[in-house]
Amino acid sequence: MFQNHDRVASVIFLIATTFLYYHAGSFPEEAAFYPRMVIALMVILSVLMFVKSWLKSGRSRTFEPFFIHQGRFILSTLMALGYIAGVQYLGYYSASLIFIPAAAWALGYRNRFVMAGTTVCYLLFIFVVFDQLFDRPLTQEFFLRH
Amino acid sequence: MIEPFYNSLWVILEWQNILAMLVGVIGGIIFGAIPGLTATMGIALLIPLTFGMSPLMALGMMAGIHNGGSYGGAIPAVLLRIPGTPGAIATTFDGYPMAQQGLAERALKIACVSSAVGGMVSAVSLMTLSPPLAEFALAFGPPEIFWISLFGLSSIAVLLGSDPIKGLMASCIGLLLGMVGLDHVTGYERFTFDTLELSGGLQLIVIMVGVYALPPAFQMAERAIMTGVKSKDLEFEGKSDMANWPWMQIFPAWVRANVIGIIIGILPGVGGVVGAFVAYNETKRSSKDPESFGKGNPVGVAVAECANNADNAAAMIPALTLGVPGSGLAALILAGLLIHGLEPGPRLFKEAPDVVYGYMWAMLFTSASLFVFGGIIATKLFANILRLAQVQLMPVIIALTVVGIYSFENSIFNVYLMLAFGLLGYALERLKFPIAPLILGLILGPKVEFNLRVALRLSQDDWSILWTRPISIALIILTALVLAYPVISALFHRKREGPEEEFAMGEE
Repeated sequence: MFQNHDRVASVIFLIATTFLYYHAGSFPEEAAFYPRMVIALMVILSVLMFVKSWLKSGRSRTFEPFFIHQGRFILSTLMALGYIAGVQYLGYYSASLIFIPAAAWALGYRNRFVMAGTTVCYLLFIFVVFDQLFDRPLTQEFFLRH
Repeated sequence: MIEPFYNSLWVILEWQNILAMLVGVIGGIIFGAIPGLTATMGIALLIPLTFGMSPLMALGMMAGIHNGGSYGGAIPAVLLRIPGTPGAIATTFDGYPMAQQGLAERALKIACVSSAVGGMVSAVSLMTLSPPLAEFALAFGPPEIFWISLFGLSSIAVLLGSDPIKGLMASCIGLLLGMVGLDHVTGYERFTFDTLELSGGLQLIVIMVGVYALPPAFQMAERAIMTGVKSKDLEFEGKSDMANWPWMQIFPAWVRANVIGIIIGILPGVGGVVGAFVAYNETKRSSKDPESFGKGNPVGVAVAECANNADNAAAMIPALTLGVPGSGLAALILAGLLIHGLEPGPRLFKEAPDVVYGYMWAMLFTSASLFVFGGIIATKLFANILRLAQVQLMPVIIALTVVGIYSFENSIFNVYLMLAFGLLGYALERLKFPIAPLILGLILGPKVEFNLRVALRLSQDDWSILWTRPISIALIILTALVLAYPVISALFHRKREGPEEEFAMGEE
């Protein structure tokens, strides 16, 4: 049923590109010309994709789910989102110190020695390369503010 | 022509550049050796590291990852029949049977030497073919640049993935993303939806890291593999036996692999996977003992790895001279150039000769360094990377992407944006959309629009300027042929295979 995913995707593309086509209509003529040309092509491609998925729908005998594991995908996305918020509010090192072992643990990994070792090695690598060697800026740690 | 090579040689031999190349090779082998990670992802992840470096140092590191990654894929291909990179698929055909016969060391050594030979010959082709092609490309005006960009985009879109419609759609998504921000002619903000952070446009690096590095990390989390490969599966014994290699078969196989790999590498959109397969099939077809292929014939490993690496530098020939890359990885290196403020194209050879020619040397030296890093101790060491549990790698990859993108512009907005593009990249990957056309669309989009507008201004809105000049006509024909290729190919297969096979093809 892979074509079903394609059909859903083509409908999403069609809605998005139709919206963008009209949105580009509000631009001055010179600025709108090229975007509308590309978007018009995308509308055509969305229709072709839809038709192709429709024509092939009867032939497909295999089912390929969209997610490999939906639960773990949602979990990892939420963890990534939480981690970025953590980097913003707690600081990079503090957030990473929590995130790296917590994410592995949440996914079922239980070897504490490897988890701790990986976290420490990673933070050391970031400190040496980003902080000391290349002097790249990182978010400030919450306990160092004020 | 010799002078820029001579001058850049001394620049590339500065210790910082040598160190960057070696770090790149080691990083590339590691990324290539871990199934699920690729050299492409390695470059996407490590580009943020290069912000503080000189452009040549950064390109040296990317050259190292490129060549190291191409070889690294052979390690799991031989030991576990899992190609570390797509280009190593043909290596599994004979590499794994050799490992099963207790000849893993020999297979890995042949793979390593063949990779180095393929990479070096490819680098020499880059050095010899690029300067005259750049000289020729200097004659291109806006209409020709417009068409060559469209040709490159169409080739990658149509030839790279399995579905040309999806390839073209991915290109259009890239073109569209390239329009976000201020229109430089009218000063009008396009597709920013009143978001201040978007008025400067979307940063290439943000999209690149998002679509290349995050989807594999999410997939690692979904698969949640708790253990790496067991150490007993990585044990291999043996002694150095280069004198006993079938040199009389390996040498002609290398020649064939290099010719095929370089030609396929130069063609936009056709990467090392195709080169390795074509060279493997040709060698098997012309062999006196074709039956031995697929059963542990060392020539099979040699030809597959040599062709796979012969594509590396060759794919950079159109990228450096015309700004149109020959592969997805070349597109990423092109993006690396742009991030360092260098515009790929024929003028780059005049404006930054040390960087361009130095990069060519870097491709040569990093290929040669595989002789050292592919030694058996190093291979054993790299094989042990496979013991790492992927579930532990996932948070490390996410943390690396966050630090890289944040440190680019001190912007947490960019980090959230990267995550959004990671999710988009995941969806596209699951739907079998090729990602390289998206990146190429993003790179070439502003160039296409700018040159189209300039051409029309020069001709006072007379569109015929686009199809009246001889080079433009040739490029239009080439673009039309590329776009018509899937239809012609489908018609050809229908005639040859009949209705039953056609049904099978449709399923595929």
